[in-house]
Amino acid sequence: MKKILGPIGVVVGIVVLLALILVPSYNKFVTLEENVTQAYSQIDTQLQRRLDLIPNLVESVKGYASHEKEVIGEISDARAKLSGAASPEEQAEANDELSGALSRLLVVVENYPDLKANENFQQLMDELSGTENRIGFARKDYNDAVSDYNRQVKRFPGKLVATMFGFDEKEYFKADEAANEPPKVNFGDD
Amino acid sequence: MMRFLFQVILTVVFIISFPVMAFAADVPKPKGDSIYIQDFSNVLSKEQKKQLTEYSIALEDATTAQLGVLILPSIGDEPVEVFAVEALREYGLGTKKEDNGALLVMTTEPNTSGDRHIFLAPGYGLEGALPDGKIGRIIDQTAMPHLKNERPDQAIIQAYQAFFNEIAAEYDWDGRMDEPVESEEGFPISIVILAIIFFILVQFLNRRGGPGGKGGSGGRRGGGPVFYPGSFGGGGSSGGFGGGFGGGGFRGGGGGSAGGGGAGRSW
Repeated sequence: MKKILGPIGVVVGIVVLLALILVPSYNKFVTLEENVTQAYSQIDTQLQRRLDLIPNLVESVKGYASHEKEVIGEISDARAKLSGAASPEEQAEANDELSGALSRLLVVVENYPDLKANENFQQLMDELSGTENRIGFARKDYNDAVSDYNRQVKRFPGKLVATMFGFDEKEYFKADEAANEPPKVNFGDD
Repeated sequence: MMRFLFQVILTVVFIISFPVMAFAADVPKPKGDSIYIQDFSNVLSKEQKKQLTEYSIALEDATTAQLGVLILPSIGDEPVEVFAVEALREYGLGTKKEDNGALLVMTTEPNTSGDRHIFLAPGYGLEGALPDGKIGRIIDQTAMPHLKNERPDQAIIQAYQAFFNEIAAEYDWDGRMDEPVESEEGFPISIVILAIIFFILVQFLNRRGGPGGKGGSGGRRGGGPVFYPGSFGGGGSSGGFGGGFGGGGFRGGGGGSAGGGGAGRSW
């Protein structure tokens, strides 16, 4: 009897030990992944809002500066690209392109005092820059969440759990300046 | 030796408590008895500051929303829309649950582009009542005319009043601030409550008059009964305020946050 109990005890011990290590790690992954998803939906909401604002902006610019076709075209193109983007990286790229086009528009607008003074236009610009700022904060929150998550993927016992349950590393929403990128934490295991 | 020990203890206490009180480098720590009106440029007179503080207290008691003002000389070249959100988060304006804070930020010295800022950042929960376009328009209409005349105090007061009304309306509260702060009349909030709040404030300030301690006599001038915060649980106020004053506590933010909304102008 004792001969059987010994090995069973060892097996039970190993199972319990594994569970003790793996279950909390698994739960942590679930939480971290939820944070990433939540932060991403914030970005998505704001990007969508930006997409919705652009047509109105283009219309009001056309009313005063219809011959500024170049910058209007750039904005429309960048908008189309953003609405077609699928991955965070594509979105980030298209979003930066749109920001560039919008800042060129601002320069052009300086030549049209009537447009600048137009209340509708002013309101749209306020909404747009507010949205841009929200995207900035949402992006930072998202990247922070991804950084926490990815760190977990690379560490033990997270690495083990990640392989077992398919928690893959997640993409950053890359900022245009490298300085804004969260530091990549390396624990020497890759 | 005792002195040395004392210093060591102080240092340790300081180090331990630091992470809790740490504010981002650029956001000044709030001063005074309450968080609402922080004027590091001395733009507002004592009287104006006191009145705005009373309005903010009344607003919070009626709606739980917190409207703050932060005036400071400079934020360097940091974008004001980023600074304002960080400041709102540091001060924790609004409740944690509703994020219904708003912070009006003004800088009074030109940055390297020659701009002085005025900007209002709403918490998540007030983005509906104060969309960016509306904020910009309110600042254009209420603050900019005074800023053109170099009257930052009036700009703050007029803008504050407009934002106060918007927030009050959002909560269907009738305590609209219809008249400019300077004039006492036409202020329909139960003026009694304000008077009581003010009375308590005076009492309270006199009570903790420090080593000089003689101020106590001033508070008795009215000769009326002495109200203590605890004695008015049944009043119209939401009861938020017993805690605020009890034991000389600082009336601070409720842990609210913001996501980057808002609008502003340079002057």
